[in-house]
Amino acid sequence: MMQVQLFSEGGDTWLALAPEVTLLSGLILLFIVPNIGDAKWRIPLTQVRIPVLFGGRRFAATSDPRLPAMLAIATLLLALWQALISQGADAKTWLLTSGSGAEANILLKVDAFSRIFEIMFYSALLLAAVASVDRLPARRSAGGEIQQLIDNRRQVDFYLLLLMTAFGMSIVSMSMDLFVLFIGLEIASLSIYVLVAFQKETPEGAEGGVKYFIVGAVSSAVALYGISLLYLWNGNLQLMSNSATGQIGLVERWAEMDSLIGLPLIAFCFVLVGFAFKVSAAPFHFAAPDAYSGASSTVAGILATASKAMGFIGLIRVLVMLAAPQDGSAVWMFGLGIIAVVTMTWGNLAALTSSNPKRMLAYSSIAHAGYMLAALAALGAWAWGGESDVISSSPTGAGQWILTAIIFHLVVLVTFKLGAFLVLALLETEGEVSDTTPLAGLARRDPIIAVSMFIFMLSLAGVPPLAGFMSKFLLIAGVVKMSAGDAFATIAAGEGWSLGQMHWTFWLAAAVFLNSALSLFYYLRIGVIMFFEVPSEGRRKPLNKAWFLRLSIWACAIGTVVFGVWSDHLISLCYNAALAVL
Amino acid sequence: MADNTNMTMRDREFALVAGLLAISAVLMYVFPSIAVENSAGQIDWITLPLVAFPIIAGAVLMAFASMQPYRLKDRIGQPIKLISVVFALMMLGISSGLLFGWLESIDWDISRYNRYELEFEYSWMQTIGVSWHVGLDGLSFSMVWLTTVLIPIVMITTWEEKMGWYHHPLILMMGGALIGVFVALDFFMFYVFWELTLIPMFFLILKWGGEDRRYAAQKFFIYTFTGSVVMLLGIVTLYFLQPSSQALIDQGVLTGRTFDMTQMAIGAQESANADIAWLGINMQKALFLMFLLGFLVKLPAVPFHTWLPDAHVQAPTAGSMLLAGVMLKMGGYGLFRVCTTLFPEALLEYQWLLLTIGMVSLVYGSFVCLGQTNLKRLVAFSSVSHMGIILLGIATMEPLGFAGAIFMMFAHGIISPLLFAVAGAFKHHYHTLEIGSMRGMAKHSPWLATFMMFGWMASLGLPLLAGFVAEITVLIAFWKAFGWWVILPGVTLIVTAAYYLWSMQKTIFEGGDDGEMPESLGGAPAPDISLWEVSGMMLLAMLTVLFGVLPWIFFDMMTGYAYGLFDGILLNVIGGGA
Amino acid sequence: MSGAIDYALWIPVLPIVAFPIILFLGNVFKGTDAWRGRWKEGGTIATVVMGTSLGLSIWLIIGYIGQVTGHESVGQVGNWLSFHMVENGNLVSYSFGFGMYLDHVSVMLLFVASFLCFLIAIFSLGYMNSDPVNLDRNHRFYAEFLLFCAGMLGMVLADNFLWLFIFWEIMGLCSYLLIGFYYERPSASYAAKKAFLTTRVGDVFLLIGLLILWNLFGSLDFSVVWAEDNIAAVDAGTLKIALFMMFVGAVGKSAQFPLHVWLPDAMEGPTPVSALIHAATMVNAGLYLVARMYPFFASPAMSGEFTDLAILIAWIGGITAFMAALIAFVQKDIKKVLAYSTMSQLAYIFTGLGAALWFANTGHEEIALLAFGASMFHLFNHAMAKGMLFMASGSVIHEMHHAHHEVAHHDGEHEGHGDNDHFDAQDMSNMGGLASKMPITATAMAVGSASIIGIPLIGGFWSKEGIVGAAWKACLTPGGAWMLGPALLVLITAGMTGFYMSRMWFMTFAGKPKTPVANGVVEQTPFIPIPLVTLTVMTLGGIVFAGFEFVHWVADGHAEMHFSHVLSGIGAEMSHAFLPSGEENGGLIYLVTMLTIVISTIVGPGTAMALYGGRLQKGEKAKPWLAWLVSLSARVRKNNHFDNSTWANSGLAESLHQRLHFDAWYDSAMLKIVVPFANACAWFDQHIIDGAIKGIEYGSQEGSSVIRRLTTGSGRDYIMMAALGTLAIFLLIWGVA
Repeated sequence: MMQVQLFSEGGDTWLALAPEVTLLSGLILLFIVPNIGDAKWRIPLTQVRIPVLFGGRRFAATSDPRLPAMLAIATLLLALWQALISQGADAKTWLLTSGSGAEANILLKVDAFSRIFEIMFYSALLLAAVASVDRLPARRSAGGEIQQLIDNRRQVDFYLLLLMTAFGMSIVSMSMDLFVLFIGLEIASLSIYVLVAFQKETPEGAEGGVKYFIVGAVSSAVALYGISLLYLWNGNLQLMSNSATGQIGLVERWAEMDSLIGLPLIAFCFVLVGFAFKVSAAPFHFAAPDAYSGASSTVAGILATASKAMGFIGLIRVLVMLAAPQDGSAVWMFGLGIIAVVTMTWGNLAALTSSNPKRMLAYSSIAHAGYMLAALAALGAWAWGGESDVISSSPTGAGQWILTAIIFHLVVLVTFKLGAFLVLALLETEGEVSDTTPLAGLARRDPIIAVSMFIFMLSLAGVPPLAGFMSKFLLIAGVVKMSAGDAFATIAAGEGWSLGQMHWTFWLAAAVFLNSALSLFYYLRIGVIMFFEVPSEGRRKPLNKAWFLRLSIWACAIGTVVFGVWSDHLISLCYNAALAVL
Repeated sequence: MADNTNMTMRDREFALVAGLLAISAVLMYVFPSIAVENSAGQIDWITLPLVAFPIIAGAVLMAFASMQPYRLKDRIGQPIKLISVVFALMMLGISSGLLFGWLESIDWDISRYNRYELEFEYSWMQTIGVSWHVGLDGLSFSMVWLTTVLIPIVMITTWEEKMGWYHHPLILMMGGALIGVFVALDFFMFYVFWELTLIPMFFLILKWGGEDRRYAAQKFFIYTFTGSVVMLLGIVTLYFLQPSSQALIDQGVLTGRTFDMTQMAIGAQESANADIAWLGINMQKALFLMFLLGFLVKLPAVPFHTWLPDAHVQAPTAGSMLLAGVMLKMGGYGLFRVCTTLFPEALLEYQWLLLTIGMVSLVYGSFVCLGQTNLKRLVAFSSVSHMGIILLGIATMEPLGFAGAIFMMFAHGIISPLLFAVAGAFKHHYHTLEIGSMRGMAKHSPWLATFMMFGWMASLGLPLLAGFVAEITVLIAFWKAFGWWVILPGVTLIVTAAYYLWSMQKTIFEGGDDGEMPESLGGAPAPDISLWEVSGMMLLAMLTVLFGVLPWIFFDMMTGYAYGLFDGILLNVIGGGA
Repeated sequence: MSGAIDYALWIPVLPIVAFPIILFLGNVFKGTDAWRGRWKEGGTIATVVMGTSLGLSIWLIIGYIGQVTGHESVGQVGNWLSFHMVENGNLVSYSFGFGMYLDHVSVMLLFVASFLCFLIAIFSLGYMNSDPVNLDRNHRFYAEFLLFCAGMLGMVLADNFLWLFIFWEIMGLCSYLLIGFYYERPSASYAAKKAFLTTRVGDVFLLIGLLILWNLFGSLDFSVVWAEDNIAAVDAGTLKIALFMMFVGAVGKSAQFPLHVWLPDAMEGPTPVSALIHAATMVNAGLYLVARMYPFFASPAMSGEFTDLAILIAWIGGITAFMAALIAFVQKDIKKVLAYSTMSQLAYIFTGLGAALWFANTGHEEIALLAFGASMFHLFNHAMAKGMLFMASGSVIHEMHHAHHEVAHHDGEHEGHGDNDHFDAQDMSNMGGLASKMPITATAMAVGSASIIGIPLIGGFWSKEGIVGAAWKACLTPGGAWMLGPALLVLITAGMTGFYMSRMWFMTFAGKPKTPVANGVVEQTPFIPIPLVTLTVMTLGGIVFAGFEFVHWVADGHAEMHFSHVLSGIGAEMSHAFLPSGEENGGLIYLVTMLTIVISTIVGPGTAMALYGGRLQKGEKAKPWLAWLVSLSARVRKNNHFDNSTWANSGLAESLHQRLHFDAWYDSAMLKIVVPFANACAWFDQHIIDGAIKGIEYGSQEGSSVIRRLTTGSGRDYIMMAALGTLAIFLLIWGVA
């Protein structure tokens, strides 16, 4: 992969940060446009009034409550398009360094990895934005104070926060410096805290938001402490060594350790904890269900997809790059494996009897985090750094494979997890969704929505031929490949192999499968409720025609099926991304 | 207004029928005929006409039905059912055409290890080495034909099922998914269809089932899913235990490996010829067990069978007919397609296991039958008992045993739908399934009684009916392999006769003229079964007789398959070739 | 000859094809006048079909009797099943075919079967169709009847044991269906179930026997398994097991001890069925099977190997003969008497076959052939006689029914149909004095009984003498001491037969009518006389068959029937029967023969006369050939009547009424052992196996609620947990590092 200094000579480098630039300009527009009014400034001593457009009575267009939504959607679309066109098999890699002096640090790295995540973030937020267009009239029917809701400044807040989240997330996906990464993380997180608490009319909203904020703040603090310790240890926080300035990056420094030193190890643990919260791994997941159920379903969807992905980016950076296993297996593998199993089991068990669909989905997303953590843990099974090792010398290293799977999972998660939340959002347009009664008999009221919901559920459970199955399948494949090691070589040499010779991470795969069987209990229950039970009183008439919302639901459903039946292209994209990391 | 509606409805029906028939004709006949031929110069009759099309057509029909306002659904129901049946008959036409050589001249009786007729491979998900790879041999073709013949019969039998506009398309989709399982030569595709079959069945049970259908549907889904998930783990492991080939990498397969069964079979065969256990005997045994679990749950065999009675008792007639007729056979099919083909050494090692499980299922199952008072539960357990015979046939490690086991799958696939059609009709007309609550049926419903008698007799292995051929062949091989253990199957034959005769004595015979009626009817006169049910059961009965009198139509095919299997690999393993 | 062969396959196929047709037409046209009238609810079709079958088989037989090539396999139908087996590391190909195997035994049985089936079809036209009870369900009778005949004909013609078994099973099915013809009667459906299950037990043995046989010979074709060198090649011990298993099958089918319990209950079926099952077809199947074992015994390679098996067969025969005769003493139901006499007579044949097999296995070729022939001949005679007897009894019962209806109506409605149910038209104690009222029936009965008893010169006499003689010869031959038991038993039974058969006749036809109903009986039903007369002639003609040297012919495949010099043949038989022969201990044999004749002809019937004889009513005149019999019985009774009440009330008589308690034992075994075990299995399945699954389900639910209780909802706890988690991570990673 060729590396280009950012904004240096050479054709399309403007593309590198184009999406972020777009987002920033979108933010600015969101500030300005809704405030444009007929304010005039009278030139002193004259009657000439020059329109200054700021303040005064706003025009109809600028006071239209839907305007912010449209702006945000347009911005995200543009950003998404830019990210897409600059994404390809021959994805260039741009490095952004702070200045060019001897102190210059490598801050950002734009490559296939960051691009795929940008795409994922943008599409998730785009779907969310589109879905929330219908929030207004919908909430009106729910009988909130209409003036307050109609006021498009509140809309501006919402979409500002959305764009802000997008911006922070794309920073995270690009950052090659732990400090920058932390900044991006906080930008995104803080906006999300607010989004969670956005429904200030409902007590749960506020409560959930606050809880989420508190626990999140604590964990961020822990992570920050860890980062500072790392700084203490290495003198800078950039991951890669900077050949230009001769600075040693964390990765190289870690690799140089012949035996583990306490300081970086403690620091590493702190950072790990911080990110474990972001991906809501047990036992740092407690706030998540409250937050999900408190937030509006759309926001919950973002929490479950985009913000989780952000956390995983952090984990990948830290685990895969920083604390890479040099020879033998990584120090963190065992701990992570245990966390993974606990997380997935905890999530599934808790979801089993939770009657609130939002909480249920929250727990299921915890379980999915567990699956991905299991894959990450397996990643540490072998030293895939050295040339001596079979796996990395084999055309497709297990490491890359696992990363591919994780990235793929995070991407397709947008389709069915967000889709499920959007269906709940559609139901929320006629009242609170705090138990399964709104879902009852959905098949009779609206077959298509019911079928899409069932598709999402089956996909979450990992039933073929849906995206959820493909992602889970790839995860397992990665884990198994990792645990099988160079078995195929031994076998090809004519010697036998046995299950006992498998690396113990093989049993992580088994755990994932048994868990997905367990999860079927509650996913199917939703289907049964929709197709079997009769609609409850007052929910007999057809659903609201929230076309934007339906549009994004359909998009999700189609995506779920397509990525399940034909995911070739996406897999190779994710694969390139993985190659970019390792 | 009403007339107006009718007019428009008629137009709509006409348009629907004409349009969909045209589409189907194109899809099923025109497309294959212009499609590329494979190396053997054969045309792909499988991919679109038999697998993809029924699924798509079913989905389209259901979508169309769901768009109609509810008051019009009854009107639209008839044409939709009609179209479904026509589609099903087209599929039957194709499979029969393949059988009798109208479409392709294929000698099904000669099949060799790992050779397939109508073999087609299209790249599907190249990056992970998944391809759409289909093909037929003596084993799978008999199952495919069975499926295609059952689908229309089921539709006819359950013609009067409520909400037919969803019911029949669902059955059509079911058929497509089932055939997909049988034709798949790629493990990924195999697994995808394997799970796909669950979804229509889930809905069949959930929407049309009995009182406790909710529990039954979920239990069925989760139980079988759990079993097959373990199988998937085996598939993935098997996948990564192969060496990665540069050729595949050049084709863009990132892992350099493939899910292709035929490739793996080649590997297995080579190492068998070299007298070394493929993958090493321990690994092979582990994988064998992983697959076996999935298959045993599906079969089902004791002790993994308890989902079956619940599912059957709650399932509607169509559901249990398909479940017992074809879905159970997926288990046996898998045993042959995977366990005997790829893991011969492990199969030899675990001969005792198959023998034990099969024997327990057979004997224990029959005794449990004797203890049942619910007609459907009785028939369900009799299925468990009969499936045991399949395991015994495999355990014999004789070509005859294999052929007999496959014929058992085939025969049971024809007989058990009849049994469940009878039981379903019983439930439908007498609102009860308790044996003894309705007696003297021979008087009230002579047709139903006749078919019940016929089905029961066929199921207890009466000569000149399909079941007998399977039993006698398996038993001959069984004696050769295990000698006096044959006593146990012998006892089972008696017990089977006992419970069937007992149930008939309590339902068909005894009273009826003294006007005793079950309370369930509430004094209403006991009706006989409808013409639809009669014709459906009649067809099944005819098939039973046909394959009982002329078994060679399919038995030679199965013999050929077994021969190929032994000649190709198993002889080397059991130490022969002398 | 060849012409007939070409159509031979149709003999069984015709009725098989007609079976579904009649069933279908019957279910469709049920109740229409045409169907009831012209079509006789299918009876017409049945008669025509059976007539055709009979014609074809007679054509075949006539062609066959002349030629002396022994046997031939014809009409081989390719490979019905073809398959492979692994033989020491190679795949060997085998197959089952279907074809017809004709030799003297099979054509003899073919004739018996088709002839009787045809007559029974005619009989049914009268018996079934004129009974209102059967209205609108006769099509079922005729259809199943045809399938039954098809089964028998097919079994006789089959050229290998597999197809023999197949048709054998089909007969089992039909007997089940026909016994349960009156399905609304619990007793009938119970009897049907009992019959099927009991024979099923035997069938399973037979099946296993066939499995062993196949694995010995790699084939089940007669021509293969009987080939001398093939037999020489196999292991005698295994072969003996196989033969034993097959014999058990025969025991079940022919209702021999201990699998005899189903036969008496089988009388629940309509009378033609009884005739069919007991005379013409099913019970003979077992004998046929045993007869088909002859070559194994006769093979020199196996010489002396199977003697114990032969003795066992003879013993089973002896015991059953005696036991059945004993039980027959106390039966009041006319059909039951016949049923037990059937068991007893079949047992005779088994004894004869046992002796034949024993001789064959010990190398006495010609005596063996003689005994074998005698047994086959007895089978022939018994079939004719017993078929006739059953139809005659059917005629009696039918007319009794009819008369009873008449009487009930004359007495007027005030009685209503109250006694309709109590009155038993089959009970002989309701009859009496019918000799004059139904002459044809009475004659037929008389002749039939005479044949069964073995009155000299009449049908069964010739064969029975042969059997008893053979048994005694066997036990007198060195090494045959074990045959003494059967020999004695059959000897005694001969006398008992004489008693219970004549008891039946006298109770029914002699003396005064015991009920007004019996008084009103008239012989009027159409069609019934035809078969009776025909069979009477056949039975009386037994002497002619004897003259044809039937015995020799049927036993020796290469023999020829002597149509030409019948008289000399008869003379030979006469001398053979009544004059002492020159061979060693011929004197003793002669003594035994005479003894048999005396006790069966004089002692037995004499006692019966003394107990049940009696003059007819005033003014009633029996036909001359019956009148002397009646008056003789009256005279005998007058002179030496004795009181048998002590005996009749004894415990033995009681247990005879209980059929020696076999049924009770079997039932209790079923109810006390099998059913509880089955229920236990069902319970186990529901509560243990499925219980485990449910346990997992509930367990996870519980775990879920426990876990969710940890999510307290207060942020403080969350942070606390997070802190703990952090600690845990530290420990884990430190531990590894």
